[in-house]
Amino acid sequence: MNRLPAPFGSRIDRSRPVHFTFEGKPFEGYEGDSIASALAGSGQWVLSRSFKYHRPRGILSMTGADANALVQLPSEPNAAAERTPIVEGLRVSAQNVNGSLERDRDAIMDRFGRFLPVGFYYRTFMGPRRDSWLKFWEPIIRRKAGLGVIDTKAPHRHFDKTHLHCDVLVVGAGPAGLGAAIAAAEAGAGVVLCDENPEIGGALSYGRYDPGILSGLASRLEALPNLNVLTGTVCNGWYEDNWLPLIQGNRLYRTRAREVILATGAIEQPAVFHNNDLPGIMLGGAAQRLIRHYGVRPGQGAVVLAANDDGYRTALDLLDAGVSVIELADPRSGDEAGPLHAELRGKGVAIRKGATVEAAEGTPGNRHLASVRIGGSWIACDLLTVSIGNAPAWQLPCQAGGKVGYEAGTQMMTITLPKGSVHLAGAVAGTDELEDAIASGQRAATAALSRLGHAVAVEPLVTPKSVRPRYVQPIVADPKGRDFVDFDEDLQVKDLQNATKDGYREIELVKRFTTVGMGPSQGRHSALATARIVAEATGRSVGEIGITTARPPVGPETLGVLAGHHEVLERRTALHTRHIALKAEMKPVGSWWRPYFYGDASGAEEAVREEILAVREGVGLLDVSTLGKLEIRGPDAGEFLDRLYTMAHANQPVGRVRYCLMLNEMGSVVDDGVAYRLAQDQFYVTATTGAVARVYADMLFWNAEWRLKVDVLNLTGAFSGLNVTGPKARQVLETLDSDIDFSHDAFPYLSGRDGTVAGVPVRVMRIGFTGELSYELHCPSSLALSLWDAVMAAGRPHGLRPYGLEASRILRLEKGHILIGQDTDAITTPDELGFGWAVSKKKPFFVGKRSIEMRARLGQTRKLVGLQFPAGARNIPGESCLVLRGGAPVGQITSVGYSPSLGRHIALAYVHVDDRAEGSRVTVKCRNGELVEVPVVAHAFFDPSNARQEI
Amino acid sequence: MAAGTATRIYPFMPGGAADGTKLVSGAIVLSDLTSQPRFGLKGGGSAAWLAAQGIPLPAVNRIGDHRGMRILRLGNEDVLLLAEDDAKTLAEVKAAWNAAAAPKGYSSWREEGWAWMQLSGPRLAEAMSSLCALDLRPQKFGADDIAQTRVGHIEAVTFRSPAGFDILFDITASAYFARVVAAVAGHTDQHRGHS
Amino acid sequence: MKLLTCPMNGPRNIDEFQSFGPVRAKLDPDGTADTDWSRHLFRAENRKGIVVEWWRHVPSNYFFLAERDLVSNEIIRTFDASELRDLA
Repeated sequence: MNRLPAPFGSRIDRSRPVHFTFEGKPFEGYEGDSIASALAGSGQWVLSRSFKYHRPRGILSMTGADANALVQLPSEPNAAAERTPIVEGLRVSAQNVNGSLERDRDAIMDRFGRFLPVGFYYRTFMGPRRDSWLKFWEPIIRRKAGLGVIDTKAPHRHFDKTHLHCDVLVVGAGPAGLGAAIAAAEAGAGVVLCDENPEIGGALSYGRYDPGILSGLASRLEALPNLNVLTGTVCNGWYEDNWLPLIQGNRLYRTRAREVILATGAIEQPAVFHNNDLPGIMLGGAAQRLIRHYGVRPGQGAVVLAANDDGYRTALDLLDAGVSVIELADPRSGDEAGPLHAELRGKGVAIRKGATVEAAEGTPGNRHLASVRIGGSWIACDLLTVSIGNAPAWQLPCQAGGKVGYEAGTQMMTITLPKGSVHLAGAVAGTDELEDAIASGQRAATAALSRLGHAVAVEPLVTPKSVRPRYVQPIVADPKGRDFVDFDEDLQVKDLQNATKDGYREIELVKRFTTVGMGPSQGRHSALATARIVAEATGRSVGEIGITTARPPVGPETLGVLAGHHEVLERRTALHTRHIALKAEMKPVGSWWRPYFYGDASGAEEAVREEILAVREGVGLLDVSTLGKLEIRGPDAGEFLDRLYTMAHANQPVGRVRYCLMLNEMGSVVDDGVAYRLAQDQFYVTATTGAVARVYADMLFWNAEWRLKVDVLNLTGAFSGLNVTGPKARQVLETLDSDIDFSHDAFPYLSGRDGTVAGVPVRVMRIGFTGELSYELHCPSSLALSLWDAVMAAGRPHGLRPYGLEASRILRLEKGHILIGQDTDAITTPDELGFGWAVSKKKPFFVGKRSIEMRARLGQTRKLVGLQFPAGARNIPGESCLVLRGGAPVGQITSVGYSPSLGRHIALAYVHVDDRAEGSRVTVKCRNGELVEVPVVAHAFFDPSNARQEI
Repeated sequence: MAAGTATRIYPFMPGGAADGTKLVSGAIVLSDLTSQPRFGLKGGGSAAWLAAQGIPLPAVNRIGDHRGMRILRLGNEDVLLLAEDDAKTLAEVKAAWNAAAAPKGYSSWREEGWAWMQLSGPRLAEAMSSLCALDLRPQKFGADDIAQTRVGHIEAVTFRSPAGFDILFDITASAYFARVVAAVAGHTDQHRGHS
Repeated sequence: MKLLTCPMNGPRNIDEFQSFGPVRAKLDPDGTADTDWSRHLFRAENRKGIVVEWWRHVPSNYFFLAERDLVSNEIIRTFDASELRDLA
């Protein structure tokens, strides 16, 4: 066991051991351990195999950012071993291995590297034949590539989304973030502070700092009720107007902040040399995290590569943890010797200035670090910590409009943001020392507070510093390669150099050609080295090269988090439970649920036939409540409808009902319905179920432009509708208590009446979608049930039957009535439907008028007609089957069905305009490819003289 | 339109469209107020007629109070009256409007088109944060404010009431809305451990 | 998510709104040639610069106008339709 005693191990609870397995072998850790820390505590340093060469890989950063430490959980691939806590019984296995982690058959790939040059994919998979990619290469690559396995039977997890609002959002709870959050909250702002780690503190939680600093900040934090701290929460993107997703476990906080302070810190960078990827070589911060967070001793004998104070502190931490520090190599040549230098010397550590690690060698199979070469001599060690500098965590700042630059003096990447509501603080803004970071947080808070209109305290001053390099990344290209720049993608120095030789000189092109920065770490550990290599190879500066665009998300996110919980919208008519009680087969129509037919599914065909016959011979009842219902009210109501619809409405008498047909500006049919004039200034207008939302919005839009004196009210839910239809409809209604005279003379076809029926206030319209005598009764929805029950009771002696959508579809087809959207498409004109009668020739204007006139001049090419198949025809084309003329398509079937009233199949179809006459024969291509000839008939197959609906 | 004498059935009543759908209670409570009296006018002449009755009209998206009625101004010419205790004044206004001659605006039929539900309970704020994207914290959204927005992914009008938040929305989506609130209550329970 | 400030309802997430496209020049249908009418219907200019667009706040069904910079996507101001009539 590599475990250290308390106070090391702030995250673990030594009294609670946790058992789990890795690659089938049992391991033990403590509650609070991550998978990687528990394995390291037991001496298991190899966590994975690399992507291309299958080299053993282990802990690099302990931040969970890179592919080195991705593992497979039973129902989750690509889990970050450095962040995922262990739980009792957890089964963990390695990814990207052929066989096992220990014996990976693909480890041989490491010896064939020269056959996998950069751009290998683009060069290789193009041939030899045109279909080689699909037939040969892709299947191989699918087997070899990809990390982890999806568990399609993964247990259900609950994800949810919620919203969060704050004055100031601070991302990152390190020293700068804490300084900013406390300053903003103490001034009275509502603050949210989030951090991806389980605790606050950032570097204060694992770095070599006085523990009193963090506890002091924490106690000030706790005293602020207006400061909401979200730990274990990832801020995964910045979107317009400060909209940021904060992900805490299975919950997504969609956050809107007035001001945002990004204290996202800095990312330690690896050094580049031969075998720099061996397990046992890790960033200084990783060693410190292992020691302080988990009480894990990272090695026995260490070499420290340090180009900054953090490296010296790491060396002191290693000594405290009982690791013998063999040597510290500092690539800086200056003879400046600070107090840390002296302290280390005092503890007997050899410090070599102006030197760096040139290469490393591993144990057999490269399973662990064995020695490093400094200044030409080999030093045996099992740990190398690398502290050569940082890159600012640029992802969120760049999404918020930040620009990346490079400062030659410090050799650091810099980020500048345009002035506005997003501020940078701490290491991401280039601060170095602790006090600087806290002060920078306070300055960011001051800037945010002043934008929020708070009285601003005196700003902490920037302490001027002497500029010194803080970033000295040795790039020691090796003729043998294996000097990795990007660990995720197994890219070496020469890969990038070769890309520039191939002409890919711009960073975005280098990325796409080499795949650098495309792995899980998204360039966190490679972007800066890449920029330097490309800069050197192309004779430009690092600032000129820059880095590639960083887009959201910042890190990987579970699809479940994005999906959240989704309840499907469902709308029900007021008669829903009545339909259910009558055993209706309910089907969704958009968001509505409607009866398809009544009765058992086994007798569907028979039920539909009976429902049709009831309407044709007796009386039927249809719930038409889903119809769009609009009320147009105001002195200009008639004028308004005149402009919107093709028929004349301004002169429509009160008490009359008129068909209405709506066109768009292009002259295409978009909706139809009826308009019942209730009063001089009031119309009740129906729209099709699917179109009413758009028709309503369009009406409001047109009137925003026209500014007529009208009000449009959508009554779709407020009113319900019952269609009582069939030869006996009048008899049924006449038995009900009503002040309406339903007789033919008093209430003729295409008129409307107001009154009460069975104590229910109603608006009744005589219209006929079925072609039979019909009364459509509309009433306030809270009374629809009473009306339905009364009509059902009155209809019982007459054999009244409720009927569903399928019977309704056939009934209207028998009459040749069109359904907008089914029998019309995006370019259907009224002429193509034979609806010339419905278009006013006298009105000076209506929407679409100008366009149908123009389109008429272009000449009509098709027409919607009826097709009637012979009785017993065996091959009936389906909807959308093509109508051919001389072998070329000229139209298509739009509706088809079996008519029990006629005893044969009938259809509506677009045919060539020259075939529109009754008696023409057209050719239709059936689903099975067979061509059938069908005669054209009149639109109305049933009762063409319309005698029945007008009785 | 004539007044009816038949029985009115609202979605959560026996026989209603949402009959059988449970309303959550516990840390989050959903109650149905749809059968409570209300009366709305919309369209040209509405505001003038109400003002002429001595009813003071608040600004758009604000709520006023008058003789036991809450007066919701949803638009320049769109006003909804809600009865607070007994519905006497509301009934009087309604009767006066029915008897009045034009111009008097037009009925907005809100008592038929909109469900009226109330959300309350100890975890109300959390539930509303999940259901609605708006900042509804007391310092941002006062007792007399109206939000015309989305609640539970559907268009809705919401405002504070002594017990919690009242929500008006498309009555045909009543069962759906009750399910959405139940799901949110479930997630709020699940998340309790985290916060 | 972008914010759009509705003159009636204040700042809201832009998913509460529906765009109805740029305000277009009014053409006299009868005084316009077929080719010009087709152009009017189908040809969107989409020039760099500032455009005035119709927007609908869906929950309140309120229509208003917004000036937007097509390059930066910045919404410069929003205003009631009555102002447009005053400008015309």
